[in-house]
Amino acid sequence: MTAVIKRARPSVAADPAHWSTVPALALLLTLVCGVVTLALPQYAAVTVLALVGVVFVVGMQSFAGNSGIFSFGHVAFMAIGAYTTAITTIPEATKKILFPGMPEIALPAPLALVAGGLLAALVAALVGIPLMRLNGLAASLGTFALLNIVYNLANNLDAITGGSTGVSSVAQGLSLTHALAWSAVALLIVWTYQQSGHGLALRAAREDDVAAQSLGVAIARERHISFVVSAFVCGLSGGMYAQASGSFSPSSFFLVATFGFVTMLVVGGRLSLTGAVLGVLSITLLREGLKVVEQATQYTGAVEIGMSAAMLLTLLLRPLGLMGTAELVFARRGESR
Amino acid sequence: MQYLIDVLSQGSLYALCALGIALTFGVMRLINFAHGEFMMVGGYVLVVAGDIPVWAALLSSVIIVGFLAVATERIAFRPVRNADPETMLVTSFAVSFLLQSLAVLLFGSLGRSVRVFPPSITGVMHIGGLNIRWLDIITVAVTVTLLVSLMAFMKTRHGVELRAAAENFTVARLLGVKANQVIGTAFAISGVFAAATSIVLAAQRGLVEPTFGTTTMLFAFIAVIVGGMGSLPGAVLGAYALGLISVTSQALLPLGLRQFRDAFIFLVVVLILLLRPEGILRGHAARVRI
Amino acid sequence: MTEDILSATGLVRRFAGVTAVDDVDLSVRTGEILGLIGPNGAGKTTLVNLVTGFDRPDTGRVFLDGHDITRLSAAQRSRRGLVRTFQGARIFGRLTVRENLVVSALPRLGSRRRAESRADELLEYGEVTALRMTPGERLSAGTQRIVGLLRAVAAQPSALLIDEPAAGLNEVESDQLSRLLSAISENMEIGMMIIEHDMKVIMSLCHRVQVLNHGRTIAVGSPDEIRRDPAVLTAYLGSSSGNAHA
Repeated sequence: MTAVIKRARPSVAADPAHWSTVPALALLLTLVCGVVTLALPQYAAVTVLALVGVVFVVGMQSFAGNSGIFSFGHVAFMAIGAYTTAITTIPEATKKILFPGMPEIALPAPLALVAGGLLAALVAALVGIPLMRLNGLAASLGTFALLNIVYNLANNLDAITGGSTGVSSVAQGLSLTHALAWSAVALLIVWTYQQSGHGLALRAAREDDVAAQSLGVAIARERHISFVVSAFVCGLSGGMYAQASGSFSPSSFFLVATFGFVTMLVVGGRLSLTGAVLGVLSITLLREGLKVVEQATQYTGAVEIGMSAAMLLTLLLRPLGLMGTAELVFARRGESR
Repeated sequence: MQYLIDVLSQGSLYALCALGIALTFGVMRLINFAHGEFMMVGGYVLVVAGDIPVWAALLSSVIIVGFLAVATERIAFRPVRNADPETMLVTSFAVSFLLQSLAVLLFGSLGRSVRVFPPSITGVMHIGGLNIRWLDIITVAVTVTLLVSLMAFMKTRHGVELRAAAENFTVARLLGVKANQVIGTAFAISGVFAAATSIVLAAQRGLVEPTFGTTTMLFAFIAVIVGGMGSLPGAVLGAYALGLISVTSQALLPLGLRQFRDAFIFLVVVLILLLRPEGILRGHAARVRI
Repeated sequence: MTEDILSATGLVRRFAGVTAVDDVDLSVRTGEILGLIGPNGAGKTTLVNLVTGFDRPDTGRVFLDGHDITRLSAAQRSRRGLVRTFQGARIFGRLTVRENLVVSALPRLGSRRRAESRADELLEYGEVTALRMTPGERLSAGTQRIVGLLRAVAAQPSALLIDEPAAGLNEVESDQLSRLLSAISENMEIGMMIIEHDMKVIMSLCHRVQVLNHGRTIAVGSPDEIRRDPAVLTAYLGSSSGNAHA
């Protein structure tokens, strides 16, 4: 068995080889992390953050890829997850001194992540009621408004969020192994949704909304379900981010983050789960490379310019990204095409 | 009365920005995220212009942003013209970020101060019991002038072509309307509106930064959606409606909650959209053709 | 005599001063194929849109199996058993042929497994099993039309509206489609309405034909009666539409 890329077989639910996408991607991530850990130990922190990115972008893909609606607001769900995890895991004593206004809830680390995901899902369920009834483009802009609202709230609800200076002293405890495990969980959730009848119905609506309606697909409802699922996963990634970095502020979850993640999804390929993963890996690589250049040349902004150029070039030359609609699977030799 | 002036001034600013966005959306279904950066460039032109006469600074801002808009269409948007609207949206997002990063590279991420008009006309005028800011008058006057010019333009041959293209692009092409020309014109006008918005905004804030246009653009997006996507009158109507909501919530919200004004505005907008998901004037973009 | 599975009374739809559909009634019984014909611009597609919920009538009502469905959305009507096809097949391009059918079978059957076996049965029935894993966008226009029809049938409709099934197809494809249509009508409990320009298709398939002109019904009757109806002849000849040679 070798992992090969199966081309031109879009979302083949019944394809017997297709079960292997999640294990194949999990294996790929494990290998990449293993190699980086051994060869470039100074990049350990970057690797963990890249896995946080994998969870986030995979979560975003489950909405954007299946619905065809680009979201500029999913980072808001990440923020919700991050604050939830921070509030529930900052040690009691530290909290009393630094953030006396925070609710006194304490949770063990994994539960805190799940709580963050659930809260993000709850928010998505609420804002999705009006948002998912809008047409696609208006919904995209609506998600952008959501990003701005959450940013505004995070900056101003000082008692709970620590205001614009943000939160620090979150118990740091996201090991590489944990991050890998959560990535696998995220992949599994998103893949399961994608393969369900709901995922299929939403992809049909993405291809042709009129035809989907004529076959009884309740488009707003299907979008809403997808929105909630993806918000949960993105909320998880926020909790992971809090545990990985230990401190953050509202601006950690605003335009720069949104832009970075959207770039990853576009470059990797928004219609493919493999694309989401590959996008994170390739853009992280590009970003770290550009950072070295930036430090050497003192050109602040080189990273952002390089990344926007990468995204623009992808859109102009290969609009569906590196992967198109293909997925990574295990297949026997000769079975790949 | 004071309240009415505030609504008019705020609504005019949104209308200027929203019209620029609605124009390019009309001809090519593009929601242009880079519109905010067109405004930012307009602002920086005023910064760089420094001490040259006001009229020259304003004129160069309009010309440069107009050219920038047309050039952006040529380079970035034309190749994806036939892609789905979401792809175009993301493309404009990339352009927007590219321009912002360039601004950071050239001017730094901190704001640069700018004085657009001489102090004599940035003051307050007292008429009866009213305090009217000159700037409010300028804002409304600029908007009305540009609106009237746009309406006049729409009656010319190019304008009719533009309207036809916005209504139904395929049919317009069959009737001999040149796609590149119409879209180019739309972007040029959109650029002029962006420059006008940036002048008003720079005068109001006195500060230009890389994210100079983002907030106003977001409100203009909302105005376009509320008004009805694809409808120019809808964009104007939506903008003034948003101005009304914005000024009203500023006046009615208790002091402790004012910092959440934007969130509150979005809440009202959401309520409107729950009642009319396709906007106040149902834009033609919302119609399903089978 | 069976009850009407689908009926409409007094449908009116105006667009900017033009009355596209003007007080039209229609009725379809289970097992019956009703043909809807008329010159270009007679209001046929508007009528189908009104009946299937893609457009709302200014006045008039639509009934499915005796229930008033006038206020339901297109998707709700579909889930109750009123399904349509489109002039262009509107196949889901990046889904496989099988997935196209599964999407359609899902709302009624609920379970993914049952929807898949229903899809497989129909693929067999339409003799396109070999294409089950092909993405919709790779199919020829004729095959897309067949898959579109099978997809509509997969929803288990009690009434099926078919918009110009043969338009743009060659003789062979058109015959193949006609055979499939009559097989579906004979084997399944469905009331069908077909809009078509091709008189050969209409006359060979339909039990009854309804003729629209300028948004009004000008004749209803058996294919033979319609062929001889002077009002129909005038409408077609007068409109200089060359499609009337039966």
